[in-house]
Amino acid sequence: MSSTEKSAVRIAVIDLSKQRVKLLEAVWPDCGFGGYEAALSVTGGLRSRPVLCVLTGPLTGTGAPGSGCYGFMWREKTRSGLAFTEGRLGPMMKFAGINHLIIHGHAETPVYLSVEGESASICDAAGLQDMDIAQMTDFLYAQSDYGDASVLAFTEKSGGVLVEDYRFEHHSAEIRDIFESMNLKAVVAGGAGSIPIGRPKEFLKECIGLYSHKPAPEKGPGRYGDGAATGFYLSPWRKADGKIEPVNITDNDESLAPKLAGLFWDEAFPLPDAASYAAKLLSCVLSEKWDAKKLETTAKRIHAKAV
Amino acid sequence: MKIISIQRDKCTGCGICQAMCAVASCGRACPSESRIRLRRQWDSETPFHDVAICRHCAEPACLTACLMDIISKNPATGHVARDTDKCFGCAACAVMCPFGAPVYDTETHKMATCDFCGGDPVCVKVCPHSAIKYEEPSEAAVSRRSRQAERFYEVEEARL
Repeated sequence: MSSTEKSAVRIAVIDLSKQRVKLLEAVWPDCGFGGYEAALSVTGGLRSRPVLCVLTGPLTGTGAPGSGCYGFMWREKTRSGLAFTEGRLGPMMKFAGINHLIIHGHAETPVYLSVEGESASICDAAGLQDMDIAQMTDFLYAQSDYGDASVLAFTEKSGGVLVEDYRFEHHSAEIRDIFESMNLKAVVAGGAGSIPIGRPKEFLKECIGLYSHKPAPEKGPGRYGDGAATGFYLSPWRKADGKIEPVNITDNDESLAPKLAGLFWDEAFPLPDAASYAAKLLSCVLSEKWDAKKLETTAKRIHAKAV
Repeated sequence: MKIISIQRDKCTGCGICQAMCAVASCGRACPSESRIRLRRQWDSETPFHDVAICRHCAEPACLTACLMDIISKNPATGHVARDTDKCFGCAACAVMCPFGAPVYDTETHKMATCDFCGGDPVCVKVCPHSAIKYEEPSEAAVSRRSRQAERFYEVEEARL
């Protein structure tokens, strides 16, 4: 992919009140960094309604360390926020061909969203009311056409916590509350698509360099789900505690730039200077010249629009 | 002849090998076309994952199945190789492979399997838990037997 070629970013805008899904295809770089600015300009027209966005970065799903990073942006009456987490949902959305989800309104009856085949659909979740999280996740996996789909769901029966793929609890009350206020029970994403990488050899070399920093052995690496140290796309250096805590972004947060790019960089990462590394990987993926300063400036601009 | 061996007690199913293999072999992030693929059994009772990769079998079923006779076994190295120029992607090899190793490349429209990245496998380099090794079969067998012996010892100790 040359730097003059443009990469399409697909945004699914879901109106739960009218049960409608609209697909927007924004061509980046015209629409700005990874389609974020296109997504945010759409939400600008929805100021009076509760809005929840699930946003992925250009590096999300590429396989680089911590590339399971994706973000939530929400806006509801008097509160708004932007938080990032890591998991499989972001990468699976991109493999399903959707970069961002913008969900607004309130469904009359409980629903879940299915993201696959470069589109999204609103599905009836009335039958899932009495299920616990394991039963609901099993059911939603069975509904998906892709064996490797990702499910983010919550049920009252299992304590009302958002859980991704059985195991990872998203400890964010705000995001869970928005799900509940919209009558949205789950998001399922799966696909066999691909993410283009502009300079794959350089990208691979950078990733191999990062992965060469092996994590210290922890007790419990074993079958996924048995206290495994990692799960699909999670950073290999993260603590193996089965919890995911979406990190709310505040002003001047140093971790904003890499997270916006799609790298969930935290203090466990073996190298400092997250923004420089994210910029280097971004240059390889996008075939554009990025440096830490450009990334941080872009991140601040997007953050200002988001909250 | 060196082979890729997976130490299942160390494998956490993180999928990093799959992600990086796809970049190395296809030039894009496309785990479904990776030459090493995780297969997960996703249910709440028995979460389980396994790894599908070409085993370079002694008597490859793919070699027999291939309609174009493009699959061969190198007598010196024992590696199963493909003359991809003549492949037209019929997937007969994938149907016959008991391990589900061959994968259809949607850009070249041909079937592909692990070729050890020319002798320097990427999956070995990126695995965070050193669960993937590129070693002689005899070395792989020795380490498997050692781990089994350790487990047997632990079980016996617990019993006593």
